[in-house]
Amino acid sequence: MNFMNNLYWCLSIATEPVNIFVCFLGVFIGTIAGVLPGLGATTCIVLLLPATYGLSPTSAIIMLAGIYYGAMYGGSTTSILLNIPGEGSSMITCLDGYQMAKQGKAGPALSIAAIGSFIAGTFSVVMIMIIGPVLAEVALKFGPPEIFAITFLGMILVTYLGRGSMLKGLIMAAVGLMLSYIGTDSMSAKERYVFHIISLKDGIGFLPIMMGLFGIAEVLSNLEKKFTEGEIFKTTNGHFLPNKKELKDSSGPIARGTLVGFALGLIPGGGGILSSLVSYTMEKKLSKYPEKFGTGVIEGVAGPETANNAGAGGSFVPLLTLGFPCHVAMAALLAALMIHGVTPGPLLYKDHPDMFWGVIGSMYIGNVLLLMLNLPLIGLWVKLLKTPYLILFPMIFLFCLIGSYSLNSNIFDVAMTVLFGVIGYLMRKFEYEPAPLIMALILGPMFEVALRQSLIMSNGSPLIFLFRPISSVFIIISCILLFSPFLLKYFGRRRPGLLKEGGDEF
Amino acid sequence: MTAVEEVAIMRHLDMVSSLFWFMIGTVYCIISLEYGLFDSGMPDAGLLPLIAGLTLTILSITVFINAVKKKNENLKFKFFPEIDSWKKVSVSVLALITYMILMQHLGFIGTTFLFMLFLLIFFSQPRRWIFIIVVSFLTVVSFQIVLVTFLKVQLPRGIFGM
Repeated sequence: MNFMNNLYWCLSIATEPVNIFVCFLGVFIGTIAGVLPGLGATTCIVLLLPATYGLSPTSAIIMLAGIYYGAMYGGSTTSILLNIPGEGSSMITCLDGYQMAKQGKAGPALSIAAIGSFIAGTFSVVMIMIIGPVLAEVALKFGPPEIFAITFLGMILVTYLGRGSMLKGLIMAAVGLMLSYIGTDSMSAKERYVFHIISLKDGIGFLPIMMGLFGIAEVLSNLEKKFTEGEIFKTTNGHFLPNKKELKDSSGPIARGTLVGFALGLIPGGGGILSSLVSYTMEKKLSKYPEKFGTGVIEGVAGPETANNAGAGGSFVPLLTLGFPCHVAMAALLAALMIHGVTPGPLLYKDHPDMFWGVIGSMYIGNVLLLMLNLPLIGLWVKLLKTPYLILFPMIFLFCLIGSYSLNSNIFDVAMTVLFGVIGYLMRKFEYEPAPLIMALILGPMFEVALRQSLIMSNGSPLIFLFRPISSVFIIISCILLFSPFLLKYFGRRRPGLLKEGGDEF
Repeated sequence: MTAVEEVAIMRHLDMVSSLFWFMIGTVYCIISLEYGLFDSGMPDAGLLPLIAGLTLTILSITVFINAVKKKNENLKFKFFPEIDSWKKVSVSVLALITYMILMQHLGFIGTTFLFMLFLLIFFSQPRRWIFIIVVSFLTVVSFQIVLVTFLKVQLPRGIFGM
């Protein structure tokens, strides 16, 4: 009964005309962001955040959330047609999707990706409705030790699950923390690392940094190479929709991908690439013909794309209930919530139920819109892929510069964007991932305040983190993850690298 | 590129980057001492920065040691993948910095038009002047309509009031 009441409430908010419009706008822009390589959901959210200032907080988050899961849908298009993932999480789809396109089966591949994504998205929304309120109630019991432990675990997990060296990931996390401490200390009011620069008194905003690290750095990296156009396959060469056999073969991977993807989406660093990789590996292991994977099997598209979208839905749960971002795109949404004056966390459910249920309701509508958009408009997305990068890249620069200026009408923010754009470019050269830096930058203040409050509660004893059951579990898991690569290396095994052959050294 | 070549290149890059992070971490730690580490037995403003800075310093030393232990192949490596990559990146960064400086003086419209013009002139081969001017103009118009007129984003007008 409660479920039905919640369903009715969330749909009533989501079906307000302005919310339907912004949801449509969000999923449309998100699909474009997913289709165009080099743009991506996170960059798009960060770039368009200033454009949401005129909207209500609920409408703003609906639009930005739409961009995120829209990009998950759109990313499969370039993976299948061009062998270039529009979104990082669609990388796995390239393996079989592109092969299917070469065999003239691009239509069924694209259709199955869209259908699987729709099923995964719908499942995620139902699960959020069931789990969300329960988790929010549990999170209300969290005190400073639990908040410290979960932020610590979040930073370690994002580092552990990253693609690069864990040592470098930890360096990035340390740098992110260091950047977060610039400004006025909230507990003692002392100015730290301000050096008499007035703009630094409030700290360095994470949005200019994100625009630099993701927007400008990405473009600078792409500019190094020649502008080339890949071969785009025809979408239809016979039937466009999957036939009965293809649907039957896809049903198992879709079902499994939904469950696996959603579960992984709940943990920090777990959604996106990890969901699709785990699904692909699982389908390959379960298949009667594993040797066919990589040659163009529909299971190799159905499973990963479904898991990818289920993971995207799952990652909303910690954000909406705990105020905790699982990855960088969620961190951008967290920033959006804060800019609109909404404090994310367990109280979001109690203090802003319209936003909580409105976002969930809009995901139902968004999923339907995406299915309607992705199938008939394939031709439009293909045309969009032909947009010369020569025109696209200056616009991305402009979005970053104007976006950062519009935050506070302060040229200092623009300077930070440019500076971190150059730093981000150099980071890519030296193979440092930006995700741990961003997570630490956003979680840093919460991390510090929770630590200091916990030590005040315990009169300076650090054992408080081990005496409380929830925080002790998180701390122990964090320590295991932190030291396991070193121990594995010592005993002659390697940490499984996510997409790098042979794993990484610690 | 073979795995051996890749390892050798990363060796060089890791040595350079770890030295950089070591310097940053050390300076950060030294400055953190000014803010006080403890106040009546409780952590003060400088404690967590000191811990973060020390963590960075120690990790950078570890990366440096790992890099030194790798086999020295004495390979020449290219930092930029193509011969003119450094020019493209430098020119783009210069354009960004110039945009930032000029934006408040010339205003959004003038600066954006010049920015687009400059980048399209530099990057388009062959140069089609009508295409360059039309695209620059349309970009300014579309940004003005979408951002300023519809979304009411406040952008600088500059000395010409544009």
